[in-house]
Amino acid sequence: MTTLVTPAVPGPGGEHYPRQPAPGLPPGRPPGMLPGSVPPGPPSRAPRRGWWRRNAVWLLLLPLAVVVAAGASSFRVWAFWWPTGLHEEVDRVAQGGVAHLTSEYLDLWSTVPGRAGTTVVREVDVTVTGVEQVTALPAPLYGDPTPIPEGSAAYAVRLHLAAEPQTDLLGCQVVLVADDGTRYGEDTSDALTGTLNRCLPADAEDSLSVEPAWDVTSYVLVDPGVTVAEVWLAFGGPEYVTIDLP
Amino acid sequence: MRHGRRRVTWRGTALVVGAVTAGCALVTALPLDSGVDDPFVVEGAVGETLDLDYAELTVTDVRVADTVAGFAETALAGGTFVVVDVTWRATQQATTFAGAEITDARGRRYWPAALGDCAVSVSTQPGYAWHATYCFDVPQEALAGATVRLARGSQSEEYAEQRRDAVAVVGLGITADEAPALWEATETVTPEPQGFATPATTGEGDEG
Repeated sequence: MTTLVTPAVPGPGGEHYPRQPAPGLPPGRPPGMLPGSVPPGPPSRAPRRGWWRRNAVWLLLLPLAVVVAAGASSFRVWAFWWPTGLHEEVDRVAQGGVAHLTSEYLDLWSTVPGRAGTTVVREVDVTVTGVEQVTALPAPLYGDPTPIPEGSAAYAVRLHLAAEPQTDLLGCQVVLVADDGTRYGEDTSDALTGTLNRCLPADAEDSLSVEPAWDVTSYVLVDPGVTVAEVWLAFGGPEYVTIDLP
Repeated sequence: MRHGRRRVTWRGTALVVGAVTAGCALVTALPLDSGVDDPFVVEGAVGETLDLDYAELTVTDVRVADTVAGFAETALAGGTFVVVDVTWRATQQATTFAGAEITDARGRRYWPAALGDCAVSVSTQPGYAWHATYCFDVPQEALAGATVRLARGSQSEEYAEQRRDAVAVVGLGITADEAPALWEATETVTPEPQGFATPATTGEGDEG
């Protein structure tokens, strides 16, 4: 094998050895070397540092580079994915316990004096007092009761809610989660009873709470035969609370 | 930092150059982009329930009409309306089914018309089947061999919203022999407004 020897990186020590042609060869380039190559000097007697030691700085910087690269390619996840779904479980209790939902939102068009255009912390306590299958739906405010569609089962979810009066409950979601993860009833309005806000009584004038504590019943259609394992309460997310059913 | 001298051999040089060349050739030759981005197409026929993972879809009926009569307006087709009745049943979470288009035998694509009570996109959630009707205004030559493509991702120019996701493609069952008669017919269709699917809207009530 022909061997070519060239200087790698100029540095101290690279010029410490005299350039001598091999014995018997004319001065200049030894056989098999590229033009401009520098013949090798005698090996250094100092023990050569291992690869890990030589690259220690870069190895230490590698995790940082990975974090920066991941952040640079995913920073918009927060803007596009995180706020538009239920991603952060802020409390979890068993049925009968009080789940405390705290979420923050920017109130753009509040009718409450002094609240419009400010960031508001919404705090709601919820207790699931009952989840049971029903065979008929109650009549809405106007019109006849909606028949339960063929191929569906209807559940009544009874909630006891508590919040400071004037708490804005717009976008209330009462979700039944099956044991396979399927989410039923994420829609904010209840088409079955014509209720626009699942967290307020059907005759509520707006989305603001009036009493310090009250009860509501929300109706959700599920696939027949599924096991409902959890109830989630949310206001559009990303925060939600989980109530485990027995 | 590395100091000193580095040994460079002809063989090492050839190995590096060869590896880079082979890598470039591999990346150029393999259709990596199309393979990664392709949607998962589930093909079927009218009346068949297709499993799209995120939903079950049934195209229950296909009609051809030159007039669509809705609750608030009556629309006359520029060509003719292909009216496609479907039933969506979401299986994971609340879902908007934004993709609907007809592709003719030559690959030309037609998007749904928001006329009458015809749907352009459909939003449902698990727990029930939801009926919707799409109306496509198409020319005569688009009828024979047409297919309808339905999905939760919208049909942008390059199907960008449907990448790596399930898509249903259902043959409408219109043959070249039937096409002229369907084109000439002066039918009026009144689409059912969107709502819970019942045996009447799914066509099951018409059987027997």
